[in-house]
Amino acid sequence: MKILRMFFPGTFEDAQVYMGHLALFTADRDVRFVELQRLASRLELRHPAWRGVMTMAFARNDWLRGQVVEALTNNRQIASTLNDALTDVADTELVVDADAIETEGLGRFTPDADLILDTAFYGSRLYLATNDGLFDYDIDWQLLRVDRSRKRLDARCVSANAEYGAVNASCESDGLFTGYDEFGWRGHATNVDGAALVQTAPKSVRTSWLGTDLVNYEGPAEPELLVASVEEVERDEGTTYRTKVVTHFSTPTDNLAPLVADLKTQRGISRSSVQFVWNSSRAFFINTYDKGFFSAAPTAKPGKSYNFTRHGTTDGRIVGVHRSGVGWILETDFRVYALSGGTLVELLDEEPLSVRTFEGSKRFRNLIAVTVENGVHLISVLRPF
Amino acid sequence: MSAETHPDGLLFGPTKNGKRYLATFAHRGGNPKKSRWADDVAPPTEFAIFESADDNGQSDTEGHYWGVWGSDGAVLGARGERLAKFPRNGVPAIPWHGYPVAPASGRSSEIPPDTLIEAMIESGALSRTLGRKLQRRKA
Repeated sequence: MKILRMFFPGTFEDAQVYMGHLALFTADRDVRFVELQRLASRLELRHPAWRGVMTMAFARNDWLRGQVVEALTNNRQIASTLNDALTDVADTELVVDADAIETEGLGRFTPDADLILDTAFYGSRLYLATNDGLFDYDIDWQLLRVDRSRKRLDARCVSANAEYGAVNASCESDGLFTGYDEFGWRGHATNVDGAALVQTAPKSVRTSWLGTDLVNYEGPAEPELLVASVEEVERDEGTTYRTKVVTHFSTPTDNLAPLVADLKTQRGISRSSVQFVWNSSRAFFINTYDKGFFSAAPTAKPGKSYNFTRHGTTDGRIVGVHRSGVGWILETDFRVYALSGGTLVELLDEEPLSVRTFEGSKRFRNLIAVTVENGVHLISVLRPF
Repeated sequence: MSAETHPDGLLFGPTKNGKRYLATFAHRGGNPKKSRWADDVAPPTEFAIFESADDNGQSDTEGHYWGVWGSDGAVLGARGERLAKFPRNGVPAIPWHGYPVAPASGRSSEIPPDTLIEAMIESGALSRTLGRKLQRRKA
């Protein structure tokens, strides 16, 4: 893999990429936006070695696998030249000076809480999980200003996770709270004016989608499945398209109980040895204290529910796992790794404060934004041509 | 740093504030149900973490003290824990003791208040990165 890096010095709490912008959440509770296409163009002018590469790596990941590039790179000489250009810049992290960045603030953004614990952009909206509850901010992306803000929950929330028209707020022992059809896509408009979120589980530290179902984690290694009721609706935003909206979750089920039980049966690893569990939309990730980490895929074979594959070990505990266009990104206590094609590659030898990936986006699916003590690393991971 | 032997561990102190400290065998593998200090955190280091927490007044409103091993929070527990709790001790004749905890566990007894973490970041006792991760239950 070719790993390209930019670094934005500063004191930040988090960094996200959304609507073509890098959103930097500053320590003084502001949000600064950097338009990535414009930044890439500007940096290409200043740094000749990055010309052509910068835009593809940091602003247009969709070009990497576009038909034109694929057709051209069938020619090995062209592919080799492109790979050489990536190799030339892969060893050096480009530190983005303040004078190279045009940042814009988010107008009318005045968060009330002291501590921002999690951030999530979805449906043009920013959700903030804070020590003082869950807030949302509808953003006018043309003017980069907040059109409307609401406090949605009073409980301290450590995680917010939105998809399929719903938002889930994990509020530890206060529970998991869900807002359904947050944007009125079903045409009922029930939540558009701020209907209350409802409690969907008694305890939660985070959630992750398993298709349209939701896995709620009561602790780092305690998953439970909430089965979703789903409605397919038509949305009209210039063009009409169909989308799935979650309308209800079941109470937590024990459908995932075989996951850890099978690990014991098949690999002899007890529940107390499991440090961390996470799921993507199709598979599970399990880290153990002393036996490395595994992926687990559901199977229909008789006598077992999951197939386990052991991948290796990481340095430190697993803190988070994130989906990206190049595989799973593993966030540990002190490092960041990519797990791609069964190979573990270290991306950063520095303690991360937050790690964000953007698998669902078109242009930024190869990017990883890692906030650290003194800035933000924006990392682009590219497969060789 | 000298220690006295004690039936339940090694006894240190007193600290500047007059607290005695017992590095207990129970948290060094003596009781498998209890969290365990990392092997490279020897009893004198365990006491130093407590002494630093005591010196810096790193206590919550309930009287529990909380400590880290260096401001970057080196691993101090056998299961990767980076925070130690020294539960309130209202009886001066009894020494204090402590053990590794992980706010990421979600157990409320292992979670220090946000205000204390903020104060530790402000004083330089704790890096902002680790402080935020403790508050976000990621450490």
